[in-house]
Formats: sequence, structure tokens, C-alpha cells
Amino acid sequence: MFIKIVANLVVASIILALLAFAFSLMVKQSKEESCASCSSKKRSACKGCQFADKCH
Amino acid sequence: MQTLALIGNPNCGKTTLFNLLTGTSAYVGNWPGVTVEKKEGMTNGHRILDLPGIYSLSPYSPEEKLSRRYILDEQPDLIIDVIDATNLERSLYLTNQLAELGRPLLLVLNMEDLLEKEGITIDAKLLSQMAGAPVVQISASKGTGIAELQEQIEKCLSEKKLPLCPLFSNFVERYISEIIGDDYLHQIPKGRQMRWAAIKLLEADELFLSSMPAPPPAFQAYIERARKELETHFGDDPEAIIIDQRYKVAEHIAKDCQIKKKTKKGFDFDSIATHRIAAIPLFLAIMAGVFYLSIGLVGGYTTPLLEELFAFLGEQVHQGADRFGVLPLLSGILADGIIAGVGSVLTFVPQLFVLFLLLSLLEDCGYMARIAFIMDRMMRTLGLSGKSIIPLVIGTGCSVPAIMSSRTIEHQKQRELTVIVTPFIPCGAKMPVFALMLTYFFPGKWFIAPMIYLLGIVAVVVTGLLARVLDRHKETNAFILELPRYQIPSPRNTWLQTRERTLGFIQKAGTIILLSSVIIYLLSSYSFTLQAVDADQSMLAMLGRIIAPLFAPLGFGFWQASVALLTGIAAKESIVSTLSVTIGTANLGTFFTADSAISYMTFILLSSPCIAAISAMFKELGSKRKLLYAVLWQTGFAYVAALLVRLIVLLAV
Repeated sequence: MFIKIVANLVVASIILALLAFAFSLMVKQSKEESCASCSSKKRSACKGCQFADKCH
Repeated sequence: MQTLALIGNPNCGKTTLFNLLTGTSAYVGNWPGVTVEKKEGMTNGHRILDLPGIYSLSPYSPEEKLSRRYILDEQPDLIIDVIDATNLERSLYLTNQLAELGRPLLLVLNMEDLLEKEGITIDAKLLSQMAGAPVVQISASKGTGIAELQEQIEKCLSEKKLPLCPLFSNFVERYISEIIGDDYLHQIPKGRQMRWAAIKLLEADELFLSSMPAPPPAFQAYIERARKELETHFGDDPEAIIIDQRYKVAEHIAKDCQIKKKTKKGFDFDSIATHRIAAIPLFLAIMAGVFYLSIGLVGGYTTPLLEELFAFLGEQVHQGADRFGVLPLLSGILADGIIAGVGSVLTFVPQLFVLFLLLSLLEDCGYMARIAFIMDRMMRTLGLSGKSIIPLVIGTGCSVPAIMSSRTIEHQKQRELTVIVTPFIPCGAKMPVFALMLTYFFPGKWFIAPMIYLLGIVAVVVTGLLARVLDRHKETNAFILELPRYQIPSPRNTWLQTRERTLGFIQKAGTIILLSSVIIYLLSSYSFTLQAVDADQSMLAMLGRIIAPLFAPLGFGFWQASVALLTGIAAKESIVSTLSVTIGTANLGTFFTADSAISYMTFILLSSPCIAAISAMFKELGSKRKLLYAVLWQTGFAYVAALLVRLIVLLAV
């Protein structure tokens, strides 16, 4: 029974973590006015779609 | 903090130099017009700006207006004039105008590595003496001369030495001196130079005149007389005379500073690449090669392998979940939702990497500009702006920046038409759908892939022709498209572009595709009473069945295909993940046939783009009504085209 509960909790946490990661990344992209095709690395000059030429 | 402004002709390597100086990775393209807004970065504690490429400071185009306004209003501490060393004379025309602005100037002779190949020798010392500004020779693509450039930047910033102004013929100089002597010139805005203002008055530059108070009648009469006398003497209007004078100075400096050896001309590839008839078949052949290598060869090996890997992973998750008694809902979300959905999109990463790599190579070597050139002719025939080709070429990557780059088109109707037709060009996000259908229904028939591009171009042509018939104004405008020289693609540029595009694709799989896969799984597993049911009885099936009959004439009137189209509004890659979750990619053959697969591809290619692109369209069109018409046109056109394509395929088979 204990193993069953732990296994369910582990799978549920994996799903929640993945969803939270995906959601937070999307929020970050939308704040940067990104088209979701831009990466948001520190050294990238790309800050989303504010300027067309900065978007890949 | 001091400010540096990078300025120069289009495609002279400003952005490559900007990236080198700032350590960033802004998009670099081997064709003019890549930079349409200014970019900002930091180098050695100084602020540096990359301005759009321009040929002159005469405000004809938005790029020229932006660059001129920036230099005049912001007064950078140093103007770095990037000169294509192999095109010295033309570049010096802009240098002459920059010298008149009264800001410290540094001339950077870029592409020095190509000089020997072109048989050109430049006397940099003499050029520096004649221009009255320091000269540094570099190769931005090879990264040579950068240390010397940085040293010279520091020197210029501390010395603040002004360049020499180019002198015109005595007849013109006489009027310039007279105008400078008048009190009216003391009213020029701060930071403007007297000589520059005098020339603008002779040219009757509207932008400058609008920034000045009305001149006294006597002075106004003098200016008009001077303009008339210049016209009589040179037989041309004053603006053209000043242009001619500047070119003469540029010609004189270039003649004294450079020696050109005549080089033997071999086979000219452009005789085919830009030929009126041969260019299109060549383009299709090259694209067929690109698709064969990426989707056919690489995809043929990697996609089945990765599919097996993700199927194995899903199976292991199910087995493990069963063993430990995990709820079917949770194991289903993880294995049949996330792993199946995201995995189905990730299986295309290797082939898309190769596709992006090949497209970057084509762009960086200069071939894409040839495509732009042959399409430019077509654009004019259609009543579109010559500049419309820029969004269309950018659109092969992503429609969002492509739509936004249309803002450089001056005429409203041409701009709006460009915004509407740009999504017809297949973007990278649609590629997984095409790759999926081509792999399952047309293995080995790689000639179909370039036909997708051809179909997109046909849609642009038909829309353009219709708009031309309906538009009574028929605006035309001049656009100079300069063909860049062919070059060996820079490994750094190619790698940066390929990496950014591929990472962007993977990032999308980890965000929107992941979320939509979970939602699609839940909707396809439960009924409206929240009971676990077969997919056919699910909420998704019920919703899909409402719109599915609309697509019956197109051959895909089943709910899975309709729902996939709806999720494609969020991101086009979602179509693949939705089909994978609801049908399973291995079962595509039981739902689609060859004709319905082609019809499905056509509809996806031409129907309204993803939500990000629709929002970009709204920004550029600026009206909900226009956006509605645009989306209706795109979707209606896609429907008719898909129907026609299906009929043709059915008749042909």
C-alpha cells in the first residue's frame, strides 16, 4: 500500500513538475513578447519579437 | 558611458561585427535588409548600437529615417562607419554624408580577406588622410583586426577628432558659404552642423525644413534663387546635383586610394541562378535536394529509431506503473499524453536540424538573396512592394518575425497584402506535419516536398493578382535589391542560426506541445460526465465531430484530423502531437489515404497561421476587421486549394 502511494505521488510530482516548467517558460516567453520560437539564453541578443530581426 | 554607433551599407557585415564586439548572437544574414531596427549591446564598457544598413542619409526609406534620426538626435560619441572594402567607392558616398554630421568618425574596412581574391589593394593610410578619419582594416567573418579596432575605438573616444568634410565644386561651395554666413542658420537644432544645414536647405530636405522656423522672406528668396542658378548651371535639380557632387568626391578618393587588377571572369553561376526561366527549376531542384538530405536521408534513419525509442519509453512507463499500482489516469497522462505527444514532435529534431543547417548554408552563401531577386520581379508584377520578398524569405523560418519585418514597406496596401500572404510560405513549425505525411504516404517521393514551397508561392501569386484587380490605386515604389557576393558560409553564423532554430523547436516541444498533449489526452480519455471512456466517446471526439463534416469534401472528415487542426492554432507542431495522441502515428494509414494526406498538407500550409502569427498580423494590420478578413481569406483559400489538389490527385491516380 505504502509503495503504491509513493509511486502515485512520484508520478504525479513528475507530471506537475513538467507542467509547471512548461507553464513558467511560456509565461517568461509571453513577458518577452516572444513568438515561442526564440530561445531566452542570457547571452542571446534575442529578446523576443519586439524587433523582427532579433527573432529566429 | 560613451555611445558607439555602427553604420554602413546593407550587407557590409555590421551585425557580424556587432556580434564579435558584444559577444551576442544577433541574426546575421548574407542579404540586405536583415536589420530593420537598431540593436543595442555593450563592448568594453561602452554602449554600442547596430543601425540598419543604408546607402545614404537621405530619408527615403524607414531604415534611412531611423539611422539619420538616431545619429542627429542621439549624438553618438563615435560613429563607426563599416565599409565593404570590395565596394569602396559606393561605401564612401555614405562616409561623405557621415563626415558632414560633425561627430568623430572611424572608418572600418571590412572584408579585407576578400581584397586579394578580387585583385584590389587599398592604401589605408592615404584613405585616412583624405577622409580625415582613422582607418582600420578587419575581417568580421574571420575575426581578424578586432584588437586593433578596439584600440582605435578607445583612441578616437579620447581624442574626439572630427573628420574632414568633403568639398564640392566651387560653384556649389559658393552658395554653401553664403548660406552658412546668414543669421538664420543660428536657429538650427542643437547638434546640427552649419554646413550640413546649408546643404539641406539647398536640397529643400523636407524633414530638415519641418524642424526649422520659417525663414525670413529675403533669405527664402536667396535660397530659391540659389536653387534656380544651380539648376541652370548643372541642368538638374539641386538634390540630384548634391548627390552627384558627393559621388564625385567618393569617386576621387576611391580612385586615389585603391588599385584594381582586372581579374579573369570564369563561369558565372548567377547566369542560371537569376535567369528568368532557369531560376525557378534550379530553386526547386535545390529545395528537392535539401528535403532529400534532411527528411529523406537523415529523417529516414532517425525518425523510425526515435519513434521506437519513445514507444519503448512509454511501454516501460506503463509496465512500471502497473507493477507499482499507479493510477491509470496518471500513467496515461505521462505515457500516452506527454511521452507520446512530445516524443512524436521530438522525433523530427535530427531531420529539422539538418533542414535548418542546409537553409542557413543557402542563406549565408548568398543563394537565398538570388531567390529574393527572382521573386522581386514577380512581386512587382503582382503589385506588391519589392520589399515584400524580405518577409517571404524570413517566413521560411517563422511567420512572426516575417510578418513584423513587413513594416519597412512604405505603402499601406502593399504592407497589408504582404502581411496576409506571408503565412502562405511554409514555416519551420509546419515541417514536422509535412515530414510525417511524406514519410508515411509518399516514401521516396521527395519531389513532393519542394512542391509545398511552389504551392505557397502560387498562393502568394493568386492573392496578389486578385488584390491587383481589386485595387484601383496600383501603388508602385522603388526598391534596390543588391545581390551579395557568393561566399563560403561562416561556420559561426551557420552554427548560431541552426542551433537557435533547433533549440527554439525543442523549447516549443517542452512548453506548448507538452501542455496541449496533456489537455488532448484528458479530453480524449474522458466523457462530459467525467467517466473514463474510449477515445471515440470522449469529449474531444464530440467536439471534433461538430466541425469534422466541414472537412469531409477534403477527405479528412474524421474528428481526430479536425481536432488536430484546432490545436494547430496554438502551434502548428501540435498537429503532429495531437494525431499521435488520438490516432497514433503508426495508425495514420487507417484514417488517411494518399489524396487526403496531400489535401490535409495543403490545408495546413495555406490556412490561417498559429496564434502568435495571428497576433503579429493584428499588430501590423492594426484593425480587427482587417484581421478577420485576412484570416477568412487564408482559411477559405486553403479550403478551395485543398479541394482542388485532392481532385487533381484523384483524377491523376
